Amino acid sequence: MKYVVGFFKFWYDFLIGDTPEITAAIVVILGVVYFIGKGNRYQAPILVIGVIATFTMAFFVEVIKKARKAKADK
Amino acid sequence: MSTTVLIIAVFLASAVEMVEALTIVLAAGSSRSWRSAFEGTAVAVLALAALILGIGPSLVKYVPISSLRFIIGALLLIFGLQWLRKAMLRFAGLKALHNEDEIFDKEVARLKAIPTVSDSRDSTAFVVAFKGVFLEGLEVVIVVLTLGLSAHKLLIASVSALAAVVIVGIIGAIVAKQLSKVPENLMKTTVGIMLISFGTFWAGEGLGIKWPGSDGAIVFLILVYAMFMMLIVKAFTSVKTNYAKSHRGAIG
Repeated sequence: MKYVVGFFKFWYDFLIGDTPEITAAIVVILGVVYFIGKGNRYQAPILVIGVIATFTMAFFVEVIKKARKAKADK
Repeated sequence: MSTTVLIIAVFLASAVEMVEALTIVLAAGSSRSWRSAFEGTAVAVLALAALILGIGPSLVKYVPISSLRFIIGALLLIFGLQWLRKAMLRFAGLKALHNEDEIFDKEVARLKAIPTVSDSRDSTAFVVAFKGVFLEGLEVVIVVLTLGLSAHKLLIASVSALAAVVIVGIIGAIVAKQLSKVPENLMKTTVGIMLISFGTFWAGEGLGIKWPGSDGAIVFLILVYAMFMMLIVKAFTSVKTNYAKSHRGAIG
């Protein structure tokens, strides 16, 4: 049982950890690219722009968290 | 072209992780027992090699390549974005840089506090070295498996990782306590960008995207992502500096 829990904990930490927003964004982007259909010319641009939007969002989520913490500490 | 990029990505990812593992091995060796630390390292490296050999060929044999590429692409995207996020925060001064010398000193102090058992083998040094190498190495295994399998170049990826381990090991043994001089954040940023580029490419292929320029699209993706990453960090840093000047207190 300990090893099963350890196995799932490893994958949870690896895939989600403290950045669930990244995993959620990638799931949504890949879902959109899948649903707009194979051969659609917008597939590649949506995927690339989605990835850029994800790392921008992940960066600013942390900036906001730090700004809030700094404000609360004052 | 993509083979070169793959070799660089695996090499850098392995080198970064091995610098972190080496810090732990050096701490265990110098404060406890070199022999036990090396034994722990050797057992961990063998366990990691067994993982690659055990999982890699079975995945290729039983999972369809398009599904494999999609899953691997998604994993690389998540993994790479996590690396990149941390690297961006470090570049922007919002997260402390990894200081290997400081980690080394803390680990040595912690290990010296544990009483030594009069035995030819030091189990503490063995376990600490094994855990350090195995846990840091797991990330390398994931990078080797994901990049190697999706490109059908598992052997090249494994050799590249092994080369990084050997080179970092040799350099580490020579420079010993100067690991903080390794430009870890720059290496992590490069790896993060490479991982998300490979991830975008493979996930896209798995979803039926025909990339213009075939494998060459990976280089294009690397350049585009690197450019946007630098723009975001640069823009943020300049806004932060201006804000600090006008409000006498910066974020972070």
